[in-house]
Amino acid sequence: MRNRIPVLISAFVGIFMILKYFSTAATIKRVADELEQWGVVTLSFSIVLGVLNLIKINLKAVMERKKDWGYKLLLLVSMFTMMIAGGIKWYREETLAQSGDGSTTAIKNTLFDFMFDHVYFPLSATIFALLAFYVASAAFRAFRAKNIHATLLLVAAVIVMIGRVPVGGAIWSGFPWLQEWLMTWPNTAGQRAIQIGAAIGMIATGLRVIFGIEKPYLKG
Amino acid sequence: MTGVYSPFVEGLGVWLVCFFTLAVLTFLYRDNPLYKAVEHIYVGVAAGYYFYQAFRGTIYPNFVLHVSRGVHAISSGDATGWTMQWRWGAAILGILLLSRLVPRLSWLSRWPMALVVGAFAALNLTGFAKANFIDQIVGTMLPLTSYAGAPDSLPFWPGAKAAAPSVFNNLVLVTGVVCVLTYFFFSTPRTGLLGKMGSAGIWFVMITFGATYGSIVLARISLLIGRSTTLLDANLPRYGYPAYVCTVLVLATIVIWRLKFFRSDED
Amino acid sequence: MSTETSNTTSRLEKWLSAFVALDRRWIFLALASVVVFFLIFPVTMPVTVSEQVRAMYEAIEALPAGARVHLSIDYGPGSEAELWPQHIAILRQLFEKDCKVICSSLWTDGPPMIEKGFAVVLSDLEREGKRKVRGVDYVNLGFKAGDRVAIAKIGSSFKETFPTDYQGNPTSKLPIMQGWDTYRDIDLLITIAVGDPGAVEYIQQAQSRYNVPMVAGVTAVISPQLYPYYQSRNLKGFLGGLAGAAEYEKLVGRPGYATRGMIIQSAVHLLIVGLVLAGNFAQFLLWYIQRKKGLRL
Repeated sequence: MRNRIPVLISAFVGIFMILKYFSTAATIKRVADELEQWGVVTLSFSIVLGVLNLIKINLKAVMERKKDWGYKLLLLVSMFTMMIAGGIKWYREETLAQSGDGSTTAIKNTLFDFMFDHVYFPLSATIFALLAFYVASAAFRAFRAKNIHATLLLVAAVIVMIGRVPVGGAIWSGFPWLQEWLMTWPNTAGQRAIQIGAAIGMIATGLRVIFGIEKPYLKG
Repeated sequence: MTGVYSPFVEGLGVWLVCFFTLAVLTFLYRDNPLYKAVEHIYVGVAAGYYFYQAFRGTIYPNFVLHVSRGVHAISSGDATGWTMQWRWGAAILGILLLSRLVPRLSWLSRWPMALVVGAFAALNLTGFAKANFIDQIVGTMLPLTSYAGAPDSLPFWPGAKAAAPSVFNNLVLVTGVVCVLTYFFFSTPRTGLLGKMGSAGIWFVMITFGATYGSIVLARISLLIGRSTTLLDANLPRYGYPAYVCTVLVLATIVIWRLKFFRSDED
Repeated sequence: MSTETSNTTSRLEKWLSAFVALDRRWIFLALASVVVFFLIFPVTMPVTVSEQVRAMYEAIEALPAGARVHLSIDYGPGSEAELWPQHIAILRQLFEKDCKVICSSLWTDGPPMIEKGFAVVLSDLEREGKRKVRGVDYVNLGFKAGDRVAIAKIGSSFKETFPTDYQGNPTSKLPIMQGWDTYRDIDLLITIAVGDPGAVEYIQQAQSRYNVPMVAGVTAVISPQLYPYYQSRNLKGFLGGLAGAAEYEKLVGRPGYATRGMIIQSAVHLLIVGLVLAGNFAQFLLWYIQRKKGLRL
């Protein structure tokens, strides 16, 4: 029973979503629309699950004074500060929205906005910017033309890197043309074939999941 | 918009931006306490932000507001209010998902997972079938002999546009798609014509991966340019040159840590 | 081989081995130096506009006044450097064409980026004497969880998917949301996206299903994947990364942040290509020397 109900749920939802694609019947549309809403709400709870799990792990580490517990305490303090700031912003905007006649206003000077603009934003952007350094050092270390295929990969990458930027046109006026041709024709051919192959796999996997042959939700 | 930051708060914000940017960049030297601290702050703030968005963006409007409108409809005698109460099913499934936090009850989370997996399977099936299969095959059905509208000149620089369709370019595309698909076909031995086509397919795959790698370099470098520009733009005299001062502070912190507190077994 | 030649070869071999195994922090330093140099001493260079960028520009230019545009902002601070210039350029063009702009996001980071975009573009327009009213000319519907399930839901009903906007105002009462509800009523779908969910998911769940005209702005990482969709006419045009944004800035006649960034991009690319070629040359020379010594087959 524990394993049968999820299989039935998966099949029911899958079949109605597919039927909605092909049918204009009002009943099917109503059921599928409601199932889509259920999917949206359930997936938002998955975000909540992730956050609660983070709290559980870090709170345990702080209470048991494990290694680096100070950093975990910092994490928890930051998290709760952001949550409380978000709650205050929500309350203020909700009060404004309800007190009006559908007029629309946005409040921009809350602690929540300050933390998003000046804490979350630079940290997120810079952590991703670190990748620039690693991609440069990876290119130097790993890009070796050991055989004809690796050489072809290297040549294609160099053409794209030089042709896509203004200096490519300054070195040789044909570089931008060559880069655009490479991306539009050979690259499209390779990408398209990969996409067609992936589509065949996705269709097969989708059918297997809906018919209950594959049950990924039963693992764990 | 109502409200802007006061000058003090704005200045504080600019200093925080510079400090956090430079603190993260210290990771390029090696992992250090300053980087660890800001990394944990980032994770905490991000988690708090996602929690807020999950509730305010989806759970509140799509569940709470919906069922409360339904209750209001029921109390005014509108029978559609009862059908609106079906949305409780979504909330129940969402709460069942949280059972993953308790190992003894985690089997209950299979029900909402099944809903999500079923929905994704169906949407992927139809979405991929149309956009990635049918449309792509239709897009590959191109004329391979001269046709009305085909340019007279050879499709090479500088005479022709790089992206303009022509018999030669169409041939490259069709050949490439067929050869790469042949390369990924593993059900028959790679001999004869199929083997040669597969070999040609690898060439197209290498060009594709090379183009992808070049694009990845383009993307990552842009992110660094973004941060550098932000630091430069924030480094104004009215804020007290925060980028310079924070650079000195951060460097001093790293040097002191390295000389006095670093242990090689931390690596 | 004479002793002198042998010593020279040995020194060369040592030097080549050291170069090939160069500590990556020297590469980081070189990269940072190039970026800082060209930030302080900027140079301008002409940008070549590619076909798919021009096609996207023309698709937006062809919109009549009052056209309904769904602009999905699906990126966050991590990709702001590449996508923010695209976002601003496109939003400005839409407002200048008096389009009705309906913004939403499938990424949690999206709604504040939407608000920032409105703040920057609308303050510029106000300085030019043009005023846009929230709820009438534009709206921020906020974030919706659900990935492709959310896109499928949006397609069948915007108002059911977004019962309120980002500020909490009921969407059923907003003038911009009156008289329509599905993708069949949208004149152009634009997504500015970093990954999944993003352009590909919108093509699969919205464009191919409802035949809504669509263009996309994506990071350079994703852009090679969009060429097949452009060729098969799922997309009317698209922008790829900072380079695409610079080309678009040229077309709209407002060179800005992206154009400024392209020269630094050029210099860094030359550095990386130089390092790759030098690394390959050093490696091959090292292998040659080792083969001559009999150390390598």
